Amino acid sequence: MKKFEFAIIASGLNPEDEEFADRFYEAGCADATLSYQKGVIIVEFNRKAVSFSQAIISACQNVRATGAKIERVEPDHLVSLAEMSDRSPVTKQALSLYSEGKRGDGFPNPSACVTTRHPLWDWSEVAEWLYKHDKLALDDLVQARIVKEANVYLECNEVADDNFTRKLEALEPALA
Amino acid sequence: MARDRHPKKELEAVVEYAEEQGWEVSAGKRHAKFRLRCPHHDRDGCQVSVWSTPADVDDHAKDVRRSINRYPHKNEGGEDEEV
Repeated sequence: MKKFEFAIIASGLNPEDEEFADRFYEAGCADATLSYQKGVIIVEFNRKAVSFSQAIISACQNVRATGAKIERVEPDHLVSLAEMSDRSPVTKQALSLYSEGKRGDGFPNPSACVTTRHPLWDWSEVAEWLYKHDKLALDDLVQARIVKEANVYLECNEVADDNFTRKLEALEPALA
Repeated sequence: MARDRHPKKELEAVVEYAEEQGWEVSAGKRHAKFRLRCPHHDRDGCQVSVWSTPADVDDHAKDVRRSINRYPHKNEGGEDEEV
């Protein structure tokens, strides 16, 4: 079993409620730290699991059992150049050159906030590119794909159900 | 009245760190030993729960400290967050 670090962002419960924290503990979040910041509930897990997808799926089940609504999984798939640099061994300067086409070839285009001074990239696309150029480990690429899939799913669906489980599990490399 | 101490020294150290940063510490109910509240008590106010018996004391201590450090009003008036 490996230990995976990620956060689930949730809403729908009152943090002032006396039972607020105990609900999470009793729902199976003893391996998470619960906070409330910027108006959202943040459940940061250090979860032992056989795979990253299993860690995310079980954590979503635990959070959902509290009655909270799961908004998304973080580290989010939309990233700035600075965040990409934090997630990989590549410097922000190098990423900037790749993104401007001044170095390397075929770096993904930004996906969001494209008309602003600080566009955002889809981390799963960038991770794919970095992996192909030997700058990122396969595990990191798989995790990037799973978080993206989880967030796309959660955006379109009320709850994480069996379909959610199947979609995330399908992204794990086949076990030997 | 003085509060209880957390029986796990790693977590007691983090609670003391929160107090040094001006956070208010109150007793929780069953599994949450403490509820930490930031000095900014309004809609944007932050709170962090400290478990009595987390699955892993070191992980929990690290993450509670990280939450406190992420407090959005911590550097109010300071430099902007890098984007």
